[in-house]
Amino acid sequence: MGAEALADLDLALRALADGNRRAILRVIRSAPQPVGAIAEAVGLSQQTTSHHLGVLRKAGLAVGTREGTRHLFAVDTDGLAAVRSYLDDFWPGKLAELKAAIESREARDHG
Amino acid sequence: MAEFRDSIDIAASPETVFAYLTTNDGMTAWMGQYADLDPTPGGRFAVDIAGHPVRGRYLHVEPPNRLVVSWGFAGSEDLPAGASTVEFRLTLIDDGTRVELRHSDLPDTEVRGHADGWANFLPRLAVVGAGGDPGPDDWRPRPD
Repeated sequence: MGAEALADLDLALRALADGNRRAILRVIRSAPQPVGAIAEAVGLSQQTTSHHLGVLRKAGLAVGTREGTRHLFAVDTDGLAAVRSYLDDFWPGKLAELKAAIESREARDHG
Repeated sequence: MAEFRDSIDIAASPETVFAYLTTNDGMTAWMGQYADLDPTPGGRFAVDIAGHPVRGRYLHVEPPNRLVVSWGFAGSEDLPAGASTVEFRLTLIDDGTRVELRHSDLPDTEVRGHADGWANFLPRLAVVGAGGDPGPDDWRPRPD
């Protein structure tokens, strides 16, 4: 994985670390919604909700779409797929570290 | 509920590998910066990974072949302490130990775009995934 992809993932994971932003993603997961409806659903001001939507957009987790004159926000499934693939790397990465930690110590003790 | 499986072969005895799963220093040599472990049935399993508090219990302790712990995150509503299960099976092989890992009772991740799947999946990502850079060697805790 390249440095750029890692930087993108880091953005996405930081965005997801916030409970309000996860709540927003839950609101828009099944259908695109305007910011007013999202704000009402999560109990935040429209301004705060817009800020969080901006963070989610920059992180590649949400997209803005237009339906006539209405501006709607939806989940960006491409961004979420990238985070999912990161998670699949969690245990393989950790097991590789376990192997490295043990084998380097064994080599030192017996070398 | 979903599960994740993986395995790796390590050039060391099962006893040695087992110590890395059951001692504080052994654990932090490969995962997390702080560990408080009591490897007895019902004993404490606590590892902080880049500030994220993994909390659970040792459920099954069978040296040096099998270890089961519960796994969740303190303060998380979606994957609370002890909510999922991680099993390590250690098998003696010709040149060392085969470690088979199974992380089960995880929120379902398979139903892409489906409401319930994402609702459970995203918080889990946030807590597990925010642990830091997935690179195997150059990983460091995020500076505060």
